[in-house]
Amino acid sequence: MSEPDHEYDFKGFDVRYVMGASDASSSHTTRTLLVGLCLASLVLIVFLSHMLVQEVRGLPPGNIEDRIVSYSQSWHERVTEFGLGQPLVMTRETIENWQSLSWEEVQCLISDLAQTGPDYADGYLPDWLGITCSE
Amino acid sequence: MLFPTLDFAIFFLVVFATSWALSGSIGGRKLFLLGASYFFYGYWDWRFMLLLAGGSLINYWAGMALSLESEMRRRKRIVAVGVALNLVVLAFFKYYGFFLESLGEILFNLGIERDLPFLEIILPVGISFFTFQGISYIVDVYRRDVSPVSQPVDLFLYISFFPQLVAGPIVRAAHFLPQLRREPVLDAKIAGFGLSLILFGLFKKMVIAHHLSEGIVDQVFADPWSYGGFDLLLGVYAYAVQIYCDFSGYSDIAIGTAALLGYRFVKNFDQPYRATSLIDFWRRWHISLSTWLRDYLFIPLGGSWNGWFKTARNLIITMFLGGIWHGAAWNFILWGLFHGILLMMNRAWRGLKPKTDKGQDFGAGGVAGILAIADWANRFVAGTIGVAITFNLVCIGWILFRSQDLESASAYFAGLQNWDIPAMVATPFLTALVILSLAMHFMPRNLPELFGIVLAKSGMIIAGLVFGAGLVLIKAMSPEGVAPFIYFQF
Repeated sequence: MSEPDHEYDFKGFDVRYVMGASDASSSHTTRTLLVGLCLASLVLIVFLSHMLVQEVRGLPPGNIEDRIVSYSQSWHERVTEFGLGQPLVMTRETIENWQSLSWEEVQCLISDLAQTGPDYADGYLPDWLGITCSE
Repeated sequence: MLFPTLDFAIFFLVVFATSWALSGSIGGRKLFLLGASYFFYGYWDWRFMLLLAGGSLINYWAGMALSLESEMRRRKRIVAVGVALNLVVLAFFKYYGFFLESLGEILFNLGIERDLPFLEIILPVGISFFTFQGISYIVDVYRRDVSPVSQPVDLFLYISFFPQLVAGPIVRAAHFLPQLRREPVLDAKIAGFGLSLILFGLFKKMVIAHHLSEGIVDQVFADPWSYGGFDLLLGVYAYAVQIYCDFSGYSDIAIGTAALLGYRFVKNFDQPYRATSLIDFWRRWHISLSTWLRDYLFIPLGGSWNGWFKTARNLIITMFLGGIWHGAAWNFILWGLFHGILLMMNRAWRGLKPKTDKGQDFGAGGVAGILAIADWANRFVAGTIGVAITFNLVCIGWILFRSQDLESASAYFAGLQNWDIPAMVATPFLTALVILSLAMHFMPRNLPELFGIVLAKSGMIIAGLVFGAGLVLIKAMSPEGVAPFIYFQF
């Protein structure tokens, strides 16, 4: 069992030639990355506001906690009003549509794409699946 | 604390900001990271922290004792005691219940009934991983591959460092300890790479593994009697993809997280399902465990230097122990033996096969060109057949590995021959997901690095925004809820 190369490498990519010296330094990178990560958190708070509500609902009862719950609920309502939750809903719906596709529908879809009509659709998928395009 | 949760996101932001704020003081930073790692582990159960500290203390003591001793026999004794103590703790938590259950069954069959001292034992998360790291430290110090730590904090942090604590990769002392002695570095390239790996890991875990587990794997393995050949075949292929995406996803997140904190881990997976043989598969699958088993078990047993029979014996023992490491159950033992026997056969086949030179020189001219093309085609076909055979053999092993017990494993194998029952859970979506995930194995292996370069070039602010958008997209595409990682149970 000989040992393969386990290290990730960056052959052909030398950071000094692509970015300035300041970008390659630790302190500059950590500062800007921290800002970047805070922006990432902001993106999450905006687009996943429903998750924020779910998370804070798990907090123990208390004045501050209740206030946090009410703030996050009103934040979520505001975000939803602006339609910022839509991309998430649309992506989920698309995935759910794909998930619910049956073999029959795929068969019909293929026949539509091939423009041969349903009569000629049989045979695109193997016979043992027992699928015919019923439309 | 699971990686894909809000708790971990907040925890990591705090650790990232504080640890880099402390980067001027290496000692202070290490102490902070040690405290953070124990907090991370204690978040499951505070009692686990005592176990972790106790194990680290044993290893620290063994390392110190080895550094003070030069006489060979005494050094051997120290290493034996250190390794044995590690293994006793591991064995107690992992095998106590199995041992008593089996003993109870044997006594019952012999007509003897005894009240055995059953205890409700919780398996501490990641115990196998940090035990292996401890053993690796003691043995490396014994072999003088690594010098013993002078500061306990180094060893305690090496064993408990939170990115790899619960499911690896199994980090070697010789690789990690020197990193603790240097000032950590984070440049744009490493940061981009870290962010990219975290996104790839989360996508594999939350989208692919979770959909496959919920959609098909859990159902077919829970009740293989009710499904036909197509469902069961897709079910095992889906499990092959799920366990890869789940485990390599965890490794990617761990490596990425460590990179953002300025530390480098070794790669743990290398497109395992494009392996052309079982030997090749084990060079690509859970690399940190397979190399650990090689260096601390297979080679000390004699490796492959003492003839075919002893090599075969060593391989089977190594894989048997690798199987039982996964858990105290007969299916894991059979899985290990299955791989051991196949590896042995693979080695034998390699010995019998006539050796051909790679990239033979056929000279120049038209005939030589045709010969070169024919040679390439021959290798391509052989490689493709090798990949197909290896993948399907690995899948047979996965049936043993994933089944609840041997009865359901044999029902699974029997069901694979029954193609009269129509598909019930094998939907086009899941079939496409399995095919696409397997196809990813044949893409360039450095995709995360390439994406990391794009992130690094775009600057950290943009990289952060892309990272946030990526997280939203992953969340939108994944099923509801957070599933624990498969390897947490080992």
